Amino acid sequence: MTVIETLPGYDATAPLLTVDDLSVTFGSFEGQVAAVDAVSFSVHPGETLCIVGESGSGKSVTQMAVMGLLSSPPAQISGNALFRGIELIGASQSTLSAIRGTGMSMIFQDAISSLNPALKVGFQIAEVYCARTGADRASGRRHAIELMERVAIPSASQRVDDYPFQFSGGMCQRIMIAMALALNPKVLIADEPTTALDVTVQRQVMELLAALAKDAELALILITHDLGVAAEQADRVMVMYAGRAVETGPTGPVFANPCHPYTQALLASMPHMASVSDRLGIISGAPPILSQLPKGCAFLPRCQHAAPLCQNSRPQLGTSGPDRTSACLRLNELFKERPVNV
Amino acid sequence: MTEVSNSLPTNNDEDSRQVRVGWRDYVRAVLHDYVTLFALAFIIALVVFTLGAEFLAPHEPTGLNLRDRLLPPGAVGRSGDFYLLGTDELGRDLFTRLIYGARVSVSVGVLGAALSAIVGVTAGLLAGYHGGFLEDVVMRLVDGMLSLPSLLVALFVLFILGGGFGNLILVFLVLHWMVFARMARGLALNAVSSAYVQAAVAQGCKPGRVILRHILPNVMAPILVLFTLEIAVLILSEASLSFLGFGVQPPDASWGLMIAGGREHIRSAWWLVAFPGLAIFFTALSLNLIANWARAVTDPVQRWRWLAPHRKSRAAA
Amino acid sequence: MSEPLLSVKDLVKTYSIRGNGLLPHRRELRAVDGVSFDISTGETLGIVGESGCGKSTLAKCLARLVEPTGGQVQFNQRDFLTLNAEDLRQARRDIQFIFQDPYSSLNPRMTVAQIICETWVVFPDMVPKKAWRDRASELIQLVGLNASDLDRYPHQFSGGQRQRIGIARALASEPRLLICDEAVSALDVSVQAQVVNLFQDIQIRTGVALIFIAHDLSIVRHIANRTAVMYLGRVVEDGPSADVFSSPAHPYSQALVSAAPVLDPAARAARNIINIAGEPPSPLERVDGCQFRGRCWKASDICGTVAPELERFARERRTACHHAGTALQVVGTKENR
Repeated sequence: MTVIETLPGYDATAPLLTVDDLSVTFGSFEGQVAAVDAVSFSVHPGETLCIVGESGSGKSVTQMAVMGLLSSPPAQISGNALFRGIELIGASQSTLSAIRGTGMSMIFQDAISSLNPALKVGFQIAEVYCARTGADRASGRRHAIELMERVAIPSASQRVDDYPFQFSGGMCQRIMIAMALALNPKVLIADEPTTALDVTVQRQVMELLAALAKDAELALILITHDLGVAAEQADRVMVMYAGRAVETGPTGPVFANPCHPYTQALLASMPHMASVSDRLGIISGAPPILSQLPKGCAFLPRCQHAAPLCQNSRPQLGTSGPDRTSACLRLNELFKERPVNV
Repeated sequence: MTEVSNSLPTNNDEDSRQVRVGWRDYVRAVLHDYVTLFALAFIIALVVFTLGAEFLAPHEPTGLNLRDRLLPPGAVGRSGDFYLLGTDELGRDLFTRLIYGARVSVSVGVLGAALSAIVGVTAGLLAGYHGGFLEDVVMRLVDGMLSLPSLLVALFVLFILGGGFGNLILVFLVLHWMVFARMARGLALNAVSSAYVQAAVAQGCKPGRVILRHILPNVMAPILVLFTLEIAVLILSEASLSFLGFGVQPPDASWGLMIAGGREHIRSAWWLVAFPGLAIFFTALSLNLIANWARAVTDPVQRWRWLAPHRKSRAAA
Repeated sequence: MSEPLLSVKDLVKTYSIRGNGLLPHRRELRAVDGVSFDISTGETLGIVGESGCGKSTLAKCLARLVEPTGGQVQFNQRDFLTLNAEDLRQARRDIQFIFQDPYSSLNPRMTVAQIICETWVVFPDMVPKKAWRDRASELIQLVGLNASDLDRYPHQFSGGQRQRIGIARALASEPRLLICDEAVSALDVSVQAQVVNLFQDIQIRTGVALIFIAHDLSIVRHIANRTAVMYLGRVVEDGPSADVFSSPAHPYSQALVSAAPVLDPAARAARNIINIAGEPPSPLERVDGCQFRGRCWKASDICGTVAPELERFARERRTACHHAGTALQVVGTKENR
């Protein structure tokens, strides 16, 4: 079995995960569609990065490209994604499978259907571990119990032999997390992990993820459409719209003082528990159709700050504050007077 | 804060999702779709020959000519007659018999399948929509009838009633409606739980209207496919029943009967079996292709996809 | 005090579930277990709860898309549950339903115009046929679409636009009560706000009463005058939304409110987080006494024997808890706690 350390390009001092200028294009019925367009980000150990966006913003596709889960063709992937210096884009299957599990893992929204209904959960958790480490079934089982305890499944030693249908949705998600953690990955990508769960269970799972990330110095990439979840969990956020990152920065400042019209409008459209206004601010229009984006800024048709210059070119990410970027052509004009720091 | 308004921009894909679709668009699309074009042409030709058999057939269907027995395709007989597809063991023109046989085979297939579909779909939709006792009765009946050995029942009934066209169709109706009933009931169950059917109920539609206007159009596609498959199945069943002597009686022709009769000469005169066989094959294939096409054009989403490329090329030109 | 538009009393819906095995025993699933409330014209009642709490079943019972097993529903001072088929059909004009999934709730084979006009087809006395087109374009514009959209099919619209079509369909019969079952849950955040505002506009224009069912607390908080919290088929708390969300009385409501993610850092710092263990149990596994006691940190002996009734404890507020002595300030400022 290949070990990550022996892969070409490995550098223990390199950043954990760096994604640079990643683009994913699909040939569709309506022509070439850029699902992800020149996205860059990086994560560090112990950090939680939230990728926020609506459906079709490219937030999931980005991460699937990084994990090597998109088959190409049909997807055309360009750019770089480096895990400790190892190139992931275009990497061979053996490189990818060496990194998956031990380097990076991923969990998905629908935990119940991600588990095989015909196999005991303990076996499913231990399966990859046994295959990769050559451990026998008994020690695999012990490892599975340990993992189930780590994700706080009550009476793990008995439940290890249960089947997935005997667990609730929240418990299935915990089992998925246990499977993802089986080989001690350094990066955990969670794609809408709590969207299918109830509010009280969502909180339990989110707190579990946060605790695990903290204990194991995990870099957590959390994909969500829920701004509230992002505000509570993330160290940094990246807001995506129509396949592009439109704003990035530390969570607190971005939510307190958004520097992109989309982030701003999105926050205004959220109802608040604490204070009730008569009406919600709204973003007019419909979410973008990727095959029919306007020439200039993708947010242009829905932007309340739209100006003639926005039709000319697509805005690039520019500095909007300490450690913050925003992709708006009118960035300086619109957001300059505001205090950028909080 | 943000502007308060509910206005939406008009769809920016106005052009490519044009509202009205004219018949020209269909013609254009069919002309570009060679496979469907072939199937349509075959079926149209079949219908024309079937209806106009008296005028189009080159020979008499029952005209014996023992001197010209078992001539291969394209042969010229001793009396100077040209036989396009050859002759059978009694010297009858195979092409002519094929045309007359199409009458029986196709009408048995279409009528039998259509009647089965009407009875079966009605029973299935009612069972699926109303559920309860009605569903239990219908579905147990379906299960029971499906477990009968169909050939045996057909032979038994035809033995009592006697063979012939009308009885054959009656037997097919009795033996095949369950297939439709079972499928329609499954589809109806699915549709009943779907939100748009509940919405129709909430809107105040009566049960009949819910079934006819909201459920039926949405379950037509798979039923249509089953219908064309059943036509092919019935043409073949007719063949086997006629072969056993309980279907169409000689000297009338049917494709099945022709295959049955040709079997004993298969080593010396392959065309006796090959051409009726090909006729059945191409009929079934064409019906399937047309069913696929019909499914596409009756569904608004698929229709748009199917028509769009041709419309785009037109716009470009 | 005028009579309420809709008055629900002890509504019960049970399903019987057949077990497996050689001699299956039937088990009873109480999806809705004795729910009572009133709603008046122009009012919005929010119903919140987690999956399996029976809120959707309750909604379908109120529209009689599902037949309730017991209880009474008075609509406009008329017994709604005993209406015969034709009277029920007529009564459906007044009670309309908005579905959760904008993709499956529109008949894919009908144009928008056909979908909206269907109401007038089945109630021919409402609008003369000549006026259908005009009336339909009025409605479609009311929900923020264009008259030219009438000839399109549902698949040509985005989720938010489809939900607007669903709303236009519901408005075609000029209803007096609109039941919205998770009507904005499937929509993108930016579109949710548009549709929520649309509901408020419609209510102002027509005075329609709204029953707004959602699992998203902040939206219910925003739109509803009053809110009922449901747990395993029962209402455990109801009252004015502002009070229910700022100082929930029932332990479950407290946990629910405190679990909702909060955007505002100040409000987040100020709230009390109550983590409850476990997950909502299946409605099949009912216990004696209070259904919530297995997860409740206040549970005592009495909770295991006596099921708490929904009782008034403050002005316009009711809760079903033996220990609801003090309402807990969950969301708000620190000083209040």
